[in-house]
Amino acid sequence: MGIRLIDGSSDSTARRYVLTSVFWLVLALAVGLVTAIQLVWPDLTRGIPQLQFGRLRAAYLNAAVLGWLSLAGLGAAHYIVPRLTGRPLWSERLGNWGVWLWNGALLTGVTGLLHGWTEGREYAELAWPFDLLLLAAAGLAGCNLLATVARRAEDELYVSVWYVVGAVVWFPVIYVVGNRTFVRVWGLHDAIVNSFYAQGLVGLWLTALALAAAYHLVPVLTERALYGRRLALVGFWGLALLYPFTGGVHLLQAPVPEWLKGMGVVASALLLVPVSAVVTNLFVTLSGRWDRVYRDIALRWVVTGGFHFLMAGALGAFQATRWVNWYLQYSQWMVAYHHLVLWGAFSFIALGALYHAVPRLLARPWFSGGLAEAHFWLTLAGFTLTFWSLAAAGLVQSAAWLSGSPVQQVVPYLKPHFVAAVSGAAAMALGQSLFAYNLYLTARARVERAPAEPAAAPAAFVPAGGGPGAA
Amino acid sequence: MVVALWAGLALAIVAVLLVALVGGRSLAGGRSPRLRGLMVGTGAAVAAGVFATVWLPLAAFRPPVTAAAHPLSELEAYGRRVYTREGCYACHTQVARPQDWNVGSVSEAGDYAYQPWHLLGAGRVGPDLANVGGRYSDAWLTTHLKNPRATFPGSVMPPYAHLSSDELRAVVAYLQSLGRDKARPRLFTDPGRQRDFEAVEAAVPDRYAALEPKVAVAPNTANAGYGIYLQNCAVCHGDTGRGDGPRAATLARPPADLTRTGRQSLQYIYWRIAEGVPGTAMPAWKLTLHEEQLWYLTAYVRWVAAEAAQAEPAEPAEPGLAGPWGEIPARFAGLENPFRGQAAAREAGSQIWGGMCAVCHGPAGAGDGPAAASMVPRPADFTGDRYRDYPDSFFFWITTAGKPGTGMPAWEDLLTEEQRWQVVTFLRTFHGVE
Repeated sequence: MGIRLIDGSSDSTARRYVLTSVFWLVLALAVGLVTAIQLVWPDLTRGIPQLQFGRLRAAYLNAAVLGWLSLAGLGAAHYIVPRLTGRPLWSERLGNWGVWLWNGALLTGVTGLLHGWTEGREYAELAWPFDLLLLAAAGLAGCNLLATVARRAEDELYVSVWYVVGAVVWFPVIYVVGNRTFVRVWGLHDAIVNSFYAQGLVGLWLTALALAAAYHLVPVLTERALYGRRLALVGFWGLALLYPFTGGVHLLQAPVPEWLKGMGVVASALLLVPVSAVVTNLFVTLSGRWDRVYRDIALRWVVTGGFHFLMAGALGAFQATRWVNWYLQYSQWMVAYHHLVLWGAFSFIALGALYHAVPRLLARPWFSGGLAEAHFWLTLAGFTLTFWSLAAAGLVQSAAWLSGSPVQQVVPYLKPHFVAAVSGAAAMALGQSLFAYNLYLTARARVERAPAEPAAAPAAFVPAGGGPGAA
Repeated sequence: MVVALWAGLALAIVAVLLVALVGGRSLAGGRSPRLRGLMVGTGAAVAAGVFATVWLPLAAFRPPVTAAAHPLSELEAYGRRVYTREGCYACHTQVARPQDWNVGSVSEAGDYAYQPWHLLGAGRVGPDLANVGGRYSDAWLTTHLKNPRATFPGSVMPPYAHLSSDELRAVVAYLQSLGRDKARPRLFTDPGRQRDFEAVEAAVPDRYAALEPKVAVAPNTANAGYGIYLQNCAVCHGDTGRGDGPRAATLARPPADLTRTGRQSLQYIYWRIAEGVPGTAMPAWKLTLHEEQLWYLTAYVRWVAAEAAQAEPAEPAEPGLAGPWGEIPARFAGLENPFRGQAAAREAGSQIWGGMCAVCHGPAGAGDGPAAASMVPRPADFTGDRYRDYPDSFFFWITTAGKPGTGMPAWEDLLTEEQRWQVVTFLRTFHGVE
């Protein structure tokens, strides 16, 4: 761990991705906590334009999606690919540049958002200079990963690698289409493009990164081969073929063409097939080794994330149907669903990857098992509280709107739910701070014996945190 | 255009075939795909998605521009940029749906023409703004933006006190432009006051006009309807059907006074209940009630109107009392002001006026008090000639009993009879009656 920004040593890119992603994790949850408080105490930041709800929310979303989840997923990909291809990363220096370019673009972009420099489309708020820089960073990372895969020593391509390849192919396409600043389309067309982008960014890019990590971690941490390759193929190609067509489900309540809505509804319902194929595959791989879910904290994160992923898939198909959407659209239910996808599913899997990768990237065990346990339970409790309170708020809103109450009359009834959501967000923010602190202690701890692990060696089962399962 | 459409379609079919080929081959063999197959397959899949859900709508979806769509003025466009910059779309949508009540006309695709970027919105914490233009005064909106709790006590909207006055003016102009040019549906909220009953009846769609009532109008069916009425309707229309339910005061369009529907046909009443009244909070009850329940409600409404017609004879008891002020109830009709012309009573009334009435009616009775800007209908303006010929008993009646469907409360329990007469004495000085 030098202070040098660019470092050609093995795994330096993965290390930089992982460490910077934790910065975005803490930042996103801190901002998220403030926005949650503002829904209870709206005059909290009165008179400070940079800290108003609308701007903070955009900053929070970008920090969470393009900061934390993207960087952690790329970190996991840069950790996994060399290990599964048997070759070191094609260029660590290029990878390092990519890390700093991405972080720099996002940091300036998010600062711009706080100062009101926004394009006003959900997930695509960043202004165009930052879009271009981010695309360049993604291009560097993508070429690096693809070149590594192309020069692999192993003939077989593992399932994780499929998803990494898919992610780096999809991201530039989705990002260019979604952020086409210079190709202006009018009115509803803009909303149609935006909904393709939002669906693609979450459903293709983030899902692929998270599943790449999950498909690597579950077999490695259980020391068992993946249950079924054919099932994995169904999951992978099903996702690839269906998710790009789901854009219409964002606009089921808007006057866009019915065929677009119908396509989105059908594709969303069919997505249950790949989602259940993926989750079945992972959970059957676990059978007979479920005790390790209790003992190994990395596996526990991943499996909890897997449960949330299944729940998100089921809810996604459920609320994409016309009548359910008719009832629930625009209420806090949808906010709860996004929390389930971003925090419950993807963040849990990404944190599992971090718990597994950090000891290997820094060549030392986690400093504190207790902090790690506290992190897990605080995050799970906080997330569960936030999710259910917002889902209940959504049901209250939907029922009240349908019975004819003006929207502004319903707002006071949401207060208990918003208060519960604040408690949940506070627990999550506290948990992530403990995690960051644990990471800091781990990074600065003196290493007595350096278990230098060659990048090409298959990752062995090492329980994190020196917990009860250490053996 | 057509060529491009077919070319795109052919490309998409090729893309889907490629994905099927790559995926299908590896699936059939149970083998991992090769790198090239992966890149081609994933690339083709996302390309097909872009074609079908981005490019095809761009090429094929050309909604006709509606009257509601209009290029924004410079000030409104600036307001729209501020609206976007502040992230208002996080909590406000701009899509009025058929199932949303009291939000005006349903949004159509052509309404969004001329919008350089979309502001459909992510979700609703606050109300939908698609038709907000013209619903509130500029002054009200400015106050609301600067301090939302001043206008809606339970609001959780952030205060936009940091906006400059130019920005505030622009945002207000933009909000007022939303749905501004949308044709508002013709309203028949209170058919009893319509002079031309035939014109009102003509609005009934043929399929409703041709209906045969399924339930006879009789005490037993009216009672059955009353049960349904109390559960569903009384909150707005009041427990006696006079349009004075607890929610009535919060509605921009007052609920209909059902006792005055006696001259409407049963089919008209049934139609209004079944389909709702566009532009008001009256929902389409056919969505939640059975056909038979709707007919029982119709029977109740007819019965209430018939009873009211019997209770209140068409000719006033003392014809001399009838005037533009309408019928003064018997309890108040003919009452004389005991303080008429007394300066001390005027002085006392002036004190009460300043404390109780001026907030809405204004210190000089011009209907321009601080709260007036947010009120629909506006408080009465007592200046000028309009009220000069009204009897004192009229003012005493309204002061005592309030005016249903408006913000005017009943002061009977808050002011003594003497105080009410003092207020009336003072009030009459606004239009020169001493």
